[in-house]
Amino acid sequence: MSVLIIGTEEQLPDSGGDDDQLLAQLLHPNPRLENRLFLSWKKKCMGTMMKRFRCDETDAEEVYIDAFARMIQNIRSKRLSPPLLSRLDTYCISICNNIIRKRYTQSGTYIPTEESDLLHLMNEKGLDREDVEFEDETWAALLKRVGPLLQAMGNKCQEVLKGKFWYGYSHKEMMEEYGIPSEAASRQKLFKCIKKIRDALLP
Amino acid sequence: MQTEFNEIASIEAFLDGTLMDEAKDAFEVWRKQDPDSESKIEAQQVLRDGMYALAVESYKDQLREWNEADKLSKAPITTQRAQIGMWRKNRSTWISLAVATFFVCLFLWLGTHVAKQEYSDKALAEANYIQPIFPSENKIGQINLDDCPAVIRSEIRSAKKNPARDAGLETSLLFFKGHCLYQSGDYLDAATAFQQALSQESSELQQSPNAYWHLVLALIASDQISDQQAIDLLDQLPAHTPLPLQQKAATLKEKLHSNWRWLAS
Repeated sequence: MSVLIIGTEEQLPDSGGDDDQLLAQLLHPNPRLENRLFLSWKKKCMGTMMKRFRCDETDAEEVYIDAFARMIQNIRSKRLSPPLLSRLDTYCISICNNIIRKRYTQSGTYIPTEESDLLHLMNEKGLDREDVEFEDETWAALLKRVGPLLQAMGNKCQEVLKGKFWYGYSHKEMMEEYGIPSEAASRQKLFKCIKKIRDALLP
Repeated sequence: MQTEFNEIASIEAFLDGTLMDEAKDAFEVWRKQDPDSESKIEAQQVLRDGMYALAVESYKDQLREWNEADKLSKAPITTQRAQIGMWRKNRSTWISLAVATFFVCLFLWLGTHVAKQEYSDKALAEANYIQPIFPSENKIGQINLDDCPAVIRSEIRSAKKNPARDAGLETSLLFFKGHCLYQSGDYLDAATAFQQALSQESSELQQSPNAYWHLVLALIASDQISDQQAIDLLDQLPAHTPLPLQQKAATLKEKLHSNWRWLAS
């Protein structure tokens, strides 16, 4: 995937073609651009949810925050990569819909989160309740398992792990960002840290 | 160690979906040979997923901060804009109100000014003052302030010459003393002098209506009595008060009753 070099002034895209450029700009941390996007899409995304699902503003706001965060991480972890099939804001709205569909029916009936997640997974994946209950706990379980292990790592390991998995840095970029002497050293450091956590996660 | 790193790198590439050709074949061979391979692959997948979840949760905190900052930045501007909008919308009303307020204040000031000219305590005291007649046999006319000490000396000399007058000397002196003090603006002491003159029982003061009149005025001017008390005193003028003085008293009572008195105070 080629990374386009964009000028220093971040422009919000006018058409679908520019969204690929926007995607490239969002690959790494870009607080100013992210802030502008977050605030400029807020009204549209929340409005769509509130209209379609008749949820209240507080719920719509929280779902939008969740969806925007996932979108950014999808970009950085390369789960979302060019060429885009739709505009980025449309992609964000679709994430919002996926999240909120678990909480509200289209007639505006609020479904308790735990139950809605289970039903959603059962319907979509054709799973038994027992299997679904296991999957439903995945997100919270991940946070619970990996979070403390990351905290227990040294600063350097936390840096390179976040650099790789949070910010999508290449080895060359981590070398520049964290003052590592070479790409090879960066690779060594990263794999050392992955091994440490992986071994702690092994049964 | 190198084998372990290669193993980790291979699993990462496998999970990224970037393993190709020979590397892919080698990975599959390792997968079959190593009994812990599935656990290792799963552990690295859990690590990736866990890091993803942590990243999302951490980023959400940042987004919540931006959201709150945005809400805070909007509220005051909206208030300011509403205030500015309200001003612009009702500009003509505000201007009319300001002009009306100006004229009301102007009329009030003018009214107060005019009222003070005619209805204040000092104005009443000065406008209603009646200069007494000089009682000396040698001089006829009205006394003024410059004559005050001479009046007193003259009165003493006159009384010495006329023993009959001696008995009323002190009363007469007090009467003229009262006038001297009144003319100099010392209304409080003037009221005291007039009071003393009127309270003398030794002789009848011919000028008692005049003394009584100026006593009341001096009490008004020195703010010793209320308007109602002054009116009550004016109703008790001595019986032999000349008609002109009675008419002046009636006019004074009307002024004391007037609403302009409130404005003048």
